[in-house]
Amino acid sequence: MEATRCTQGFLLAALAMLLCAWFFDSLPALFASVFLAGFLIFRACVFLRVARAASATVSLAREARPEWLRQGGIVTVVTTVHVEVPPGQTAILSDLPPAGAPVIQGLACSPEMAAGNHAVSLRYGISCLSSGNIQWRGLDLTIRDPFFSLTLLFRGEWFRTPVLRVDPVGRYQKREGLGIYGERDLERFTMLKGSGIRSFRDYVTGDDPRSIDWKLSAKHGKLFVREYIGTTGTHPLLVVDLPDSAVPCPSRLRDAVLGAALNVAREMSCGPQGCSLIVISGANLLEFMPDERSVQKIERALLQFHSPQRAVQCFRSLDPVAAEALRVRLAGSATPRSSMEKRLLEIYSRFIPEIRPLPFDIQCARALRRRSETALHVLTTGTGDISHLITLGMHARRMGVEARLGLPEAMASPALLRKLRGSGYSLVRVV
Amino acid sequence: MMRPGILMLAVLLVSAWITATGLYSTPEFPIAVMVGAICTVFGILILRISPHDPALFLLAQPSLFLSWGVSPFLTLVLEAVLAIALLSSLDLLHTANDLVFPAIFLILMAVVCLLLSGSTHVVFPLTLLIPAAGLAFLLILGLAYRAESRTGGGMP
Repeated sequence: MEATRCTQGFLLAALAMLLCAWFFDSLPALFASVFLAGFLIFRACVFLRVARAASATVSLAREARPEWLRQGGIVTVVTTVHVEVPPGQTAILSDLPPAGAPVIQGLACSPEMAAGNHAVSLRYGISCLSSGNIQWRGLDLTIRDPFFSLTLLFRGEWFRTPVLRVDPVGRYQKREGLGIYGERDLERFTMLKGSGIRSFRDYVTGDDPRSIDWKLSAKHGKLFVREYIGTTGTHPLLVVDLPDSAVPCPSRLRDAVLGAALNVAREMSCGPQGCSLIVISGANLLEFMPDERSVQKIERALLQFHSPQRAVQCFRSLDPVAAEALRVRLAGSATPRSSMEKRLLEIYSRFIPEIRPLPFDIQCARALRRRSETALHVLTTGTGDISHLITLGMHARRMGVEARLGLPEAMASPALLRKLRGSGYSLVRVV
Repeated sequence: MMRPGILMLAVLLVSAWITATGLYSTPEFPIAVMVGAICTVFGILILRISPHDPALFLLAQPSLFLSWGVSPFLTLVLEAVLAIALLSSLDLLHTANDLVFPAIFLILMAVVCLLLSGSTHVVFPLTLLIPAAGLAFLLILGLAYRAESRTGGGMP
């Protein structure tokens, strides 16, 4: 509650009277001081009672179009508020747009309203700069009379609807070839025909009549058919690695990765085989959707986890294959072994048979063993531990699957790129 | 509709000149006449330049201060008339309910006036009034907190 200038004047006069009463032992001055102070107290009580009554009459209906949009998009909002302003008071309504969504068109607050019943419509536009599910912060009602003003904060769920769903924007850079499948023309025959013409030959009975080149046939007086070049492509398995909740990750990095993933997943879902998607966070498999065609399901899978807690960390785990390779190297060494090497060989020989692969290793192997998966596209923020990415890359290399990785430009340090390139990824690029 | 400030100016002039009349044949009479004249001039100036009822209410306080010499009861009556006129001119008195709180306030002030009129020094009343003001301040803080925290509105 705030005092107006008028109230401040009253308080000043009351204080002056009080000092006058104290120093001059004046009873009339004391009475005047008490009267002025008492008047303010009485007005404050009445004002608060009236403000409570006014707050009980507030009802709100908010309409936003569209409710589902991309980051940076504009939402048109119409907020209708019904309020009864008590006699002798004035009121101002302020609609509070979501955090990270500034008002860019119109005004989100009403002009000063006099006493009476009001149905105020606030029309404005907001630009959604933040992503995720965002809600309005509520509504503020400022009630004023000549002595006091009070801002009532309406923060209940009813005053925060609707929820805007803002998808992050990211760009998935096209790789070699066409589209996400990396389609390329080949100078050889394949099951799939390309668009280019490799050569012409005489027509043989049984050839597709659609491949006859009528112009050439007419020129030479006999039938020629076109031989198309072959085409090849891959069907990628998309892996989205979400950041660890325990490691600070700027939202723009996560938005860039999720935006790129949404972009490519939507494109893939329209393809002949749908979208094969794995959502992970570290060595924790969160969602696996093989050959999914429903865009809604894919979007839900990508957006339902924000920054999950990584229950399993694999930076201390030893890959059995790598350990066995080291053991074989130590055992096969012709040079005399040092005592440490002998001890290491002994330890390896004992515990390697006992090593059980992590569940994540098994999950990776099973996902990549599917016949349809011929490429692996990993999108990651590159924050925190990257052991699981190395595991994934190694599995892809072992199974002969072409692995590619994309990470935000801000995280693409030369050392990290070098490390990732050396762990099975044929291409590491920024998204 | 009466022009803003006219009612308050009228009450201000009446209270100022009633006080001066009441103090006739006392040593305070010249001061009361001077205060009445000052109230008249400044009241008209305020009305002409920028009508502001609370300013006119404050302007009346010196003459009410002097009216204590006539009778504390007169001071109480004049303060009550001024307060009612101020509330009325600020459009804060509409229904019968709006009169309840001013009535309670004026009854309380009458009690204070009665207590003060029987006192000879300000020390004892002050020791009572300062804690009372502190309690009233706490009461207002509590009411303000209650008003701010219970804002469910008229939604279901």
